[in-house]
Amino acid sequence: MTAPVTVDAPPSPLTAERLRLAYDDRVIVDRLSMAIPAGRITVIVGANACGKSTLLRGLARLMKADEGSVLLDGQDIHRRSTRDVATRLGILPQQPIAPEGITVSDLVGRGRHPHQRWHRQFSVDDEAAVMTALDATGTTDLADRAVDELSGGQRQRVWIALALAQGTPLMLLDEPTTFLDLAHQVEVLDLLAHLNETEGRTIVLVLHDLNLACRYAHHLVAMKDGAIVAEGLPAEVITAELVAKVFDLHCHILDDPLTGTPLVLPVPAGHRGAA
Amino acid sequence: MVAPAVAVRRRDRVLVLRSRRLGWSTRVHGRAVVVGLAALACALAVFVWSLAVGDFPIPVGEVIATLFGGGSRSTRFIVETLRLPRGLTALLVGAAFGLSGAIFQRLARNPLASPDIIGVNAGAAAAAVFVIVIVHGTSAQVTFGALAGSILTALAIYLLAYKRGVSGYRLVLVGIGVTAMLGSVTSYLLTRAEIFEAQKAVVWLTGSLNGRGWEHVRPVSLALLVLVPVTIAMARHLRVLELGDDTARGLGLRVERSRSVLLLAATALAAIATASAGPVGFVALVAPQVARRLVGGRSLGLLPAAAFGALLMVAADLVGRRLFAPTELPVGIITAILGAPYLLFLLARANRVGADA
Amino acid sequence: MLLLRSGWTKGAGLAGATGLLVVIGFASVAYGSKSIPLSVVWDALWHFDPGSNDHLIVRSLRVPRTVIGLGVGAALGLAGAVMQGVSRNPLADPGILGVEAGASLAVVVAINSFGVGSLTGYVWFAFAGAAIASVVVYTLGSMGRDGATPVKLALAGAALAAMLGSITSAILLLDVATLDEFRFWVVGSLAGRDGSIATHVMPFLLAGAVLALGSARALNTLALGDDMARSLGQRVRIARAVSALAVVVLSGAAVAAAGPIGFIGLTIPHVARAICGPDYRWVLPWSMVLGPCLLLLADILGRVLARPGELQVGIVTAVIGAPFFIALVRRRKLAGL
Repeated sequence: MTAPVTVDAPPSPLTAERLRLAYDDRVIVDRLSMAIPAGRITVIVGANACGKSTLLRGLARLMKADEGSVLLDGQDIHRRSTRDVATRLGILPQQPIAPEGITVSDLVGRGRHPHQRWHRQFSVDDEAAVMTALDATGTTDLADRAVDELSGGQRQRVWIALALAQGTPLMLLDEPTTFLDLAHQVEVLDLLAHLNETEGRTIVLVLHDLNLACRYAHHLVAMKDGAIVAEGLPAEVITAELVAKVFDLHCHILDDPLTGTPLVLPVPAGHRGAA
Repeated sequence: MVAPAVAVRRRDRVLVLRSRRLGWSTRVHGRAVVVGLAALACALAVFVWSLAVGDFPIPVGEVIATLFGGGSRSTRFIVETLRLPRGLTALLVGAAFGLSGAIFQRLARNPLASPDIIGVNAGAAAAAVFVIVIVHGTSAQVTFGALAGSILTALAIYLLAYKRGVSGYRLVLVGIGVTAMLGSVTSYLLTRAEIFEAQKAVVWLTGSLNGRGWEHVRPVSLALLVLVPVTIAMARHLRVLELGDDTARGLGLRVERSRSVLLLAATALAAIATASAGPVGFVALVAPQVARRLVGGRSLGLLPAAAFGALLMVAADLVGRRLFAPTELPVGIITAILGAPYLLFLLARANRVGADA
Repeated sequence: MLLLRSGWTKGAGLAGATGLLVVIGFASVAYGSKSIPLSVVWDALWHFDPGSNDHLIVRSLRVPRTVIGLGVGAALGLAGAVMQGVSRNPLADPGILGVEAGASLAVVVAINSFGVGSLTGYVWFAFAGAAIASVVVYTLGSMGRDGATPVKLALAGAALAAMLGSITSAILLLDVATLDEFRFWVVGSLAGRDGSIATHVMPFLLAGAVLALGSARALNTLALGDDMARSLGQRVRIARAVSALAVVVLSGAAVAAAGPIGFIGLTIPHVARAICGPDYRWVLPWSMVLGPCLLLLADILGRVLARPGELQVGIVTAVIGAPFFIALVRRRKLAGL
């Protein structure tokens, strides 16, 4: 396992220390420690039910840890008020709910909640943030449309706009591409990569598609059974042995001819013997 | 560039009012305001009309004169002592039901949610019947008992459903259990009563504005005076709660606390309304939906729901009083008859939309 | 709650539950609001003396009452389980189809317009009212291209219940004498039901039970969703109609015999599922046995605790059913179906 950061890299804004997360009696994650590198895109991968979503929810304070702690900017995340956390960290959960009939600009506007008060419900800053977010996600033309009329890709971009409008340096997204077709998946990931490059936001993603994860991740975390198996640069983490161990999948690893990142090719059943 | 002291910007039918100096800003949805005011105007018109009609009809002009201090002794008596408090109770109770229903429906994200879920009706009914049948109480005691009954029941349901937080599903299930039990208790009490008390109880149980006087107007207006501002203040929290618990928490909202406050406010509104007029059906269900359809998706439509509730209630009471005059039908029967076509309308809509199980 | 996993334990458990039911049945004959020594009860059953008051009580009051209780309890349990299966809604009970609203209105009309005054007289009205209401609800719910989906049935049922309920209230308010009789019927009771009611109602209960038990496999398939069921070759519309018919016949007969008794249709299927899992081939027979266990137990308690009077079974079922149901809700994630 390679150390993901170099000596002069900025301190990690979000760390987990010996974290233990459980639902009732079922322990999902136990004694897990990790540090999210600042200003980078971190992608968490793993088989179904390995605990990646649970980990993300624990990092985002949506779940309380049984043991261990999550530190945001060095401070225990549960000690800070939730509104305070919301100005530093934004989370886009799986399958978010849009109220019936809400328009795009309204929905994105709700992302400004942590910055608003009862007497300051829609300041100039709020308005500007919404406009910028719509612009960055290419949804300005959709501003007055109802969210439920949009396509899957458009809707996801709107949710990302909401997270953007929130204006947090840290963004956590739980499977933002799962129900999208390939073109839309790439669209969303390109957008996130662009935001990371131009604004330096720290982004943490849970992704299913291993190849897309390799393409976009600066820092890849592979999980199995609630523990981190390997983390680091995709090229270093993704090996045939690791994929077999984490995903129970027989594969060949190539270098992606377009990006140079690892490309995972599952071995078809008939060829098993030849590998 | 000179920043204006107060800026009003009109952007896609939403008015943004801003004062830079104070650092204050708020958004007003034009359509919601128009719809709400129109509903209120209709409600007031029907209200004035209800003051004019009755066994002793009084021309509207004289009614208005009486309201402003004029009129003869007899019109003053009829209007001020009999019809005015009844009409006002109708307006206020209707508004309370409408607002309560709107909050419940937004919290539950379900157009069929209404305050009965949290046992307000069942608790009020059991307590009221108890007071009527066992205690032989006065009207004021019945109202008070009903209020205590609904609040205690709502609390019990909430606490019984609480297990590290309240999940909607568990709340509904516990609500069903407690409501069914209280319903049986109510039926039992009815069998133990003298027939004339049983009759009094059944009248109350149907939901009636008969004999409502100033002693009913006061508690409801007090409740609205306190709870409407609370609701308006919590509206922006409700807007975030609507996005689901995880997203809401992610946006920095204290989900359990906000939800509890909103539930408390909605329950209190429904409890006071039920205590004053009995368990009047369907106002809390229908008014918010009518408001929502007219107001569109931009606004929560809370105040328009209250206005429509008031309109529905005062209109239903008028119909109940006059339809089979001189026999009065309690307002609860009229609203229940209205409820049927409303649900059938939802059914027809479900047909058109198709799919789903 | 124990979860019996293998078919063998489920069968053995069912036999055990049936044994329990038999014991409760005997208790229902042996205990009542009048304290009668067990030896006398025994004599009444096997060495009947028409001159003895106690023997008469046992033979002509308690035995029919127990038999009706068995039938009604089984019918309610079964109807509830089938209703929850057809509507894929664990909160459903036969009341959704408007059975209680229809029966109540019919009884009120019987008292008010036809001057009917006896329980036996109510039976046919109640049954007819329940049947007509359910047919209307089902027809309304099946209009449109999807047929009678659970959501549409629930809406249609609520609409009709609202309508019928307001008419019933109106009649009760306008005629005190009707209210005076109705309020005793509407509470749900096994008191005063004699052998004639049992003979009227039994054929319907049996027919309904046969229909219901026969639809067990269809219910299992329907639980997977309409599309999945169709792809597995299930004739969805017919299966739904037959199951709904079973519910109507069973709950109509139950309400006709004993008035509206709540809770059994709602909670018993949950208990059954908690014990034997979601397979309707087991849930239905278990519900059929557990239903009368609860009902008769409630009836015995009502008679014994309130001596020399009695507490109607509808009340007792609710008062013991509710806390039990809530405990169930709190303790475990209720099996979805």
